[in-house]
Amino acid sequence: MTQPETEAQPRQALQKMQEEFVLTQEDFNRFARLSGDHNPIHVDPEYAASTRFGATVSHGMLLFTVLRGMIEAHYPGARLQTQNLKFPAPTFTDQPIRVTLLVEAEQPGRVELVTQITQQERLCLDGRCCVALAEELPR
Amino acid sequence: MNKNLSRFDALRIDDSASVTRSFDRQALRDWCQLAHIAAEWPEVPEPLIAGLFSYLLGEELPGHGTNYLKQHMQFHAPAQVDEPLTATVTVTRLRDDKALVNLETRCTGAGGRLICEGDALVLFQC
Repeated sequence: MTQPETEAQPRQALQKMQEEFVLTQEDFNRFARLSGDHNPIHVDPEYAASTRFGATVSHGMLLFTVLRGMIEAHYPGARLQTQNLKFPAPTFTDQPIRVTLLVEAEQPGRVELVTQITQQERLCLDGRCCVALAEELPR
Repeated sequence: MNKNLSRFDALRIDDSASVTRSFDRQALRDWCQLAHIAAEWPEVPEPLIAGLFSYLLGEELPGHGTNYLKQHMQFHAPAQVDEPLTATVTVTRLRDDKALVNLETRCTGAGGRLICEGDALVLFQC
């Protein structure tokens, strides 16, 4: 799963973290129960087949959930200060999604990340966040 | 005016919708499974707070047919397990040439404590 580091810049060695996941219809259904968002485009395959998407699409915040889990895996106990999210393309069940975290800036106790999710080369989530690292947080 | 935009045309600046909900420990455990997190999570995770906004946008204002394009969030304080959280979305800008709706998104907790503020952009073409 090596990727060409096209974005490498001389000022610092950028750290890139990537992982693949697969979301199933059951994952969509579980997020619908958690969020209360039972929009048929997410949970009703028959209805969704008749829309321009042709199949159910993920809740944007389920993608954010997977992304947030990956931030926790790499920065345990950290808290999000800000998160920007764009959803340029739909995300479907059963095709792998690739989650990427790219360190854009680091300061004491704080890191800025570019956050992206792609599915079959389509950019489905495009974002950016500031994370406060755990050792700086009052508990 | 394009008659296909009749639902868009019914929207007004300052239209607003709210929901109050709390998340219990079981909800946090269910969320952790979806996030591939093995440990117990001590606070309401940010994507569940964001989910309150997406629920409102998709189900209430503007409602079904909403295409979520962008969300920005600034988190001010953590939300606690079982704490009643009130999320509100308010229309701030309407661009009828493109059927775009900008909304302010805000979530408060117990005693009106600010948890999260931000804004959203949705496409509402139906």
